[in-house]
Amino acid sequence: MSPGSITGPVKTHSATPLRRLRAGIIAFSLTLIVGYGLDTYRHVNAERQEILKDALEKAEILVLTLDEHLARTVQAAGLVLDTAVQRVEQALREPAVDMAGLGSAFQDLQGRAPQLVNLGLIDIRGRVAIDTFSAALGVDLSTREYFRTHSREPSTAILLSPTVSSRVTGRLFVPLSRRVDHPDGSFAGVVYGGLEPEYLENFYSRLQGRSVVTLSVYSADGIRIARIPRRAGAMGQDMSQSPLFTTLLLQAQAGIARLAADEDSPDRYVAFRHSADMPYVITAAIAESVILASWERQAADTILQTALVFAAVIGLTALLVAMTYRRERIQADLLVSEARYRHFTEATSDWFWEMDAELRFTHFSGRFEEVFGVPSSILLGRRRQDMANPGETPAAWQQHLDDLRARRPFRDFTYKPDMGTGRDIYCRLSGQPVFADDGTFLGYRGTGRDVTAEVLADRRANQARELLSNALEKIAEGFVLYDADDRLVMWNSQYAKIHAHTADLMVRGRRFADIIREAAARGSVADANGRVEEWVAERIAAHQQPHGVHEQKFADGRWLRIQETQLPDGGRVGIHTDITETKAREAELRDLAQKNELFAVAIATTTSGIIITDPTLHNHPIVYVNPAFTSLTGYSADEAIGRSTHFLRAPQADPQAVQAIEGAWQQERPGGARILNRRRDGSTFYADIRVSPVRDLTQRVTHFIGVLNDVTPQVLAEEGLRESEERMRSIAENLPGLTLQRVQKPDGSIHYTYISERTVEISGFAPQEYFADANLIWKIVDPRDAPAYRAALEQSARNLTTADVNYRIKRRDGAQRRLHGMFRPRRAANGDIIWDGLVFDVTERVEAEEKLRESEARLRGIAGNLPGVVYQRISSRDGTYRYAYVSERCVELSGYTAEEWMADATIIRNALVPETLPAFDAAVRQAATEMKPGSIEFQIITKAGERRWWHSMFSPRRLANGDLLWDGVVFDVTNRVKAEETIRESEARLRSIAENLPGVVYQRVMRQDGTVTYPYVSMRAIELTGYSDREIVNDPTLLPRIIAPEFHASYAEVIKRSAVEMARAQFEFRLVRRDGEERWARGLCQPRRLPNGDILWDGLIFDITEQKRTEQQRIELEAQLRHAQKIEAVGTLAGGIAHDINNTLVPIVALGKMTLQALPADSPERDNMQTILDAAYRVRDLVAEILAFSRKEMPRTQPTQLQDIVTKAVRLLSASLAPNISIVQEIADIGPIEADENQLVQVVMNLCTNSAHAIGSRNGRITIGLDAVGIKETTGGLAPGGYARLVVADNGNGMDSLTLQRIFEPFFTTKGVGEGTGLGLAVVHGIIANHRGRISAESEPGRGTTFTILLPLAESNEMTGIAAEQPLTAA
Amino acid sequence: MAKILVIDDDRMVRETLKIILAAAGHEVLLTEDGNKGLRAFTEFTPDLVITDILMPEKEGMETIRDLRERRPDLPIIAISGGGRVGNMSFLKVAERFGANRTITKPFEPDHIVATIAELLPKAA
Repeated sequence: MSPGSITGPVKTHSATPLRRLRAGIIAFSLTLIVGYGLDTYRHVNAERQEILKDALEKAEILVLTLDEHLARTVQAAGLVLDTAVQRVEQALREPAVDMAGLGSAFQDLQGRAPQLVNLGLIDIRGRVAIDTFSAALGVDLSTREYFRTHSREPSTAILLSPTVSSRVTGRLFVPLSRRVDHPDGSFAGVVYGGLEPEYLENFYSRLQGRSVVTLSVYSADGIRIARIPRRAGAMGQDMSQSPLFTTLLLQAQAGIARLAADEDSPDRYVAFRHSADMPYVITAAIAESVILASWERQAADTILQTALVFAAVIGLTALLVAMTYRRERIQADLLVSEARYRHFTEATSDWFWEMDAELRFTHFSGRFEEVFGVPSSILLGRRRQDMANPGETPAAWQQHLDDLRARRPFRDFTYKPDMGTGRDIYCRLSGQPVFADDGTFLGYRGTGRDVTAEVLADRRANQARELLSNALEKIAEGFVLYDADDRLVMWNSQYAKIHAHTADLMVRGRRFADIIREAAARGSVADANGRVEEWVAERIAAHQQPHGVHEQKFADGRWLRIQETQLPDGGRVGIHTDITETKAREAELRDLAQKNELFAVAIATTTSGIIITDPTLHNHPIVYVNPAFTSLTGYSADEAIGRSTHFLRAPQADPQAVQAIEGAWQQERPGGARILNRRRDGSTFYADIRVSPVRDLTQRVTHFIGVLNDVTPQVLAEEGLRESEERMRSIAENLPGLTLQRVQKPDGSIHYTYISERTVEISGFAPQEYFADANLIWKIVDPRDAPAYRAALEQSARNLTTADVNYRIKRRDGAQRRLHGMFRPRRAANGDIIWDGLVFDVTERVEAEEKLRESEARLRGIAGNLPGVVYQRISSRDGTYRYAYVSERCVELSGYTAEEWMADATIIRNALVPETLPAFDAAVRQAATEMKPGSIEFQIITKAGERRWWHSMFSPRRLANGDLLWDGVVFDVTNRVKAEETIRESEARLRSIAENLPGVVYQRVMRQDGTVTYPYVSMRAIELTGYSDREIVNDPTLLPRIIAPEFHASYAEVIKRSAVEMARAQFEFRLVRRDGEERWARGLCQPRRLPNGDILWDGLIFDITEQKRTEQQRIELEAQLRHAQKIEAVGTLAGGIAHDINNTLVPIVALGKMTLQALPADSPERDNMQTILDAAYRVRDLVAEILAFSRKEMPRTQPTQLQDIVTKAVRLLSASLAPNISIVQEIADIGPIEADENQLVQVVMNLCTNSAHAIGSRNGRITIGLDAVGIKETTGGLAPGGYARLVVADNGNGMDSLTLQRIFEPFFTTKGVGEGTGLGLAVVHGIIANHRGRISAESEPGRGTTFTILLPLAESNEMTGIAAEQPLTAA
Repeated sequence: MAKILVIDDDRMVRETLKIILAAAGHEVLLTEDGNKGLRAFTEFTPDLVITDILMPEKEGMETIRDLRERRPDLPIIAISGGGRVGNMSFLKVAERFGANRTITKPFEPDHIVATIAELLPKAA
């Protein structure tokens, strides 16, 4: 395999790495186990040492402690014994031994030594002389080892003996004893005490708790004195031969040793110690098993864990190893199966190939070369897509490349590669994409096969098939081929055409049975209808055992002939022929044959003579006659046949009729005529002859058939009738209209039996034309009239009544005529209905009538379109009357139709509202009397019950018969009347309002010549003036006269201006009543110009006397109020001034006085000083006076020019203002206001002073503005009206909003100490309020301050200079 | 010899009073309004207070009332150059508020000294 080839996933892992892996796994596991095992061992061992060490340390400590304790116990007990011995030896020195005293002393001593269970004395004989345990007295203890020791040896040391059992109580104890000497030093006895092992035990158990340590106390020679815990037989045990004593104690004072097990004890550790002070050995022994018990448990756990770990490691290792084995086996299997695959593919295909991910060929197996004859190396390394198109078709090649690029598997891509050998080799490739485990695309692997032989064979087969099908297409019949399995193989287009209705069933490979079953089921086979399964079975049987030909009928009527043949290979060939036409012809023939028979019988039996001639033969001879002919003419068939028909004609036969027959012959068309014929016997007879040509299939005329009917009797009868008919005709033709006779048969057919010649004149059509076509009449009757015409005839036929019809026709020349027809019907015996009709041309008459009607309609139209009702009424001389004509609008107006009016003439008169009837009658009567037009308005009640006003105008004329004809017209004027009423009502209402208004309502007219009238003055005038309205109206100078003289000029001026400006005028004046009383009146009037150029004022004057009086009172009240307010405002003003001046006077007066006092009596300055003081006192008094004066002062208002006030104030100010402040005046001329000049001067001055303070020492400007504004609605306490607006603005410091809120409060000041009183603005506010005005201020810090004052303009000033309403800032 | 606190917003009045009272042998402290006067009152502990009525910051009535609250037995003299509250003069009102005496500006030096002597007999 070349290095670049794809190798497939299995080859990437060889067996060697697997073995290496396996060895690695095992080595790793072993290392893990050994390492972990060693570690565990070390750990367990260390723990054991630790535990041992711990236990032994503890034992050593126990031994030490016990040694200490024991030493102390013995020491303490020894002290007691010593004391006891001293007592005894003392007693022995007494002449008499006080035993009782000793006994109690012993009791006492023993009580002090808790470690001793008893304390006693043994005499020299060995008997117990004293014992705190009295039961022991007298007991012989001479045998006790310690007694003997003491009696023998003079040592006075305390002796600790091995544990003994009490001879009294049997309890174990450790005896402590000491020798008692006589004063001479001889043995006097032994004092002893019992040390209970329990005491030691208690101590021990306190030390140790529930320990497992065995403590022993031995004497130095190895006798066990005590063992804790106790054990029977342990006391007194001689342990001198134990290794402890034989070896260890000899080697060391203290230590630890491990002793092997003996009969008493298991393996154990012993801590031992020679007591420091006493001849004892103390041991603490612990069984090894006990020490190590906990360790063993831990060790067991650890080992168990380790074992588990080992097991896991081993198991895992085993698993991994097993896996590597398995993998190895799989690889081996794969290798085998790959080899097998290659063998297999090479066996089933010709070669095997591989492609890498770049679609480069990387491998071809050996047979490639064998097949292509070139080495595969010519393709290796070449990319598939780079190869020239070797595919069968470019599309197939493209598909192939697409598959490859999409990494899709592909199969059987057949193509002819060009190997340059010139050989045509077809090969077929199949391939599978190969992916690595991780999904990486590796390339393709596939097989190739040499399919040249197959492809060529296929081609030959296709060629053969093509040839065959071409051949089949050439045959006219349908061809179909089924294979041995009865599956559809092929068919030609003729077959497809025949079976077009089941074309969709023709699918190669479909079974015959399925196709025909489906076809039958669809109902396309006529034979199969209703019996599909049966037919299918028959058909299949016929198909499988073909025997010649059978026919089949399609549901669409076509016939099919099917011929099926079995092929040698078991297939079936079918030839299908469409025989529909053949079938049809057969049926025709059959039909014809039947008819022929029938005709033969008919011809032989008919009573009409029939002859057949042959025009193809010379002379057009008769070739056949029927028996009736013989009986009709007397000529036998033999006599007639072979002869021309001429012999049959009578000489006097109508040549025209003969010509009709001969013409038919010549033109080979049917024809007929009534011809006079001659019989064999020479007699003649009339026969109606009809001839018809007989044609063969080629339309050639082969024979003529002639039919003769004897009509002689009819002809004779007709001739008889003709004469009378001629007569009738003559009459009819001479009638002014046209006459006709029309017959309707019971079957409904119509014909004319007679129409007079005049019809030519009327309609342009001849009578014959009507005879030939009875329906001609319907062609010429105007379609608009035809239905009525027909209906009339039908009705006439039904009822046998005369039909009277007017109708229009269209003449042949296109002209329209109007006809009037009358048709009288009768029923004939045979059931026919016969009309005798008379038709007149009434065109001229009708047109004249129509013109008349039109003009009438036009008139009616006019009448109908008039807004009212037009009528004609005829009044007879007998007093009755009727309406001859009423126009249509009558319905609209009255609710009654014209017919109703005319039918009942009283209907309208009765509808009249009774109240208006007399006037109505009177008007009519007057008009009739004077024969002049009249008119009347009256009320009627319509049919609907509605009340309406009508206005009627009428004009009479006398008719010839003396009757009166009224031409009249009626209009509905309800709306107008109502409107008038409304106007009247509203006028009355207005008048009522005017009369009830609290003032005098009037109208004043000034004519163009300047004269004045008062057309209307309301009745209340008398209340105001004492003169009645009439008086004022009648005397236009009265009203101006009673106005008080001082108002004449202003009143005249106001009215004049109103007339000039056509604007509302307002005025106020005092007038003098008739009774001399003076009244105040205020008036206003609105002018308008009348059409004639006069000016009319609608005006109102009302009495304001009371109002004036109230106003006066108000002014007075306000004065009082202002007076009262002076305490707060004007008063404080004076107070403020006084305060300032008086303050100023303080140093002058006080210091002046002091200076005066300090001056020597003869000092020339004394006079000067006194003068200063006098001046100061004068100022003080002056202030007091001003104060008093101002307190009393009453502000007095009078018409004042505000601009004058401003000028005055500015003049006063300019003297005191600093030069850095300029005053700008923007003053408009606004007319007077009612004001107190002094107060307002003060207002302006105060505001300006404030501004000056706000400006300070900078350069600044104070602007004083004055103009007038109007207020339309009550605002901020100000009534609507005209106001003077005074504005004082500065560009000083300005104020914040808090300060702004307080500036009008008394004593509120922002000025420095001594600079202001806080009263200036309060005073201003008070003054403005007293003037019914308002002051407001606007300010912002740094933006200056603007004060705006509004003061009402004087009333006489209201009309001037009022600008539009302007927004006002709230105060 | 007494300690006298003077409260008046007018510098000239204050200075004049200082001259008069010092000449009479009194110790004087001058303040320009009620607030400052009340503040000084605590430290200075005057034997008598002379106060103006109409002052910008804290006017005399209120000052008198507050002084009275602090020391009910404090002798207070109200001085004023005029002015009225309702139909009563300031000085009348000041009496109502607790001034022991009222003196109208301008005043005679002897009148002041005599009034103090009358109110402070021990100091005389």
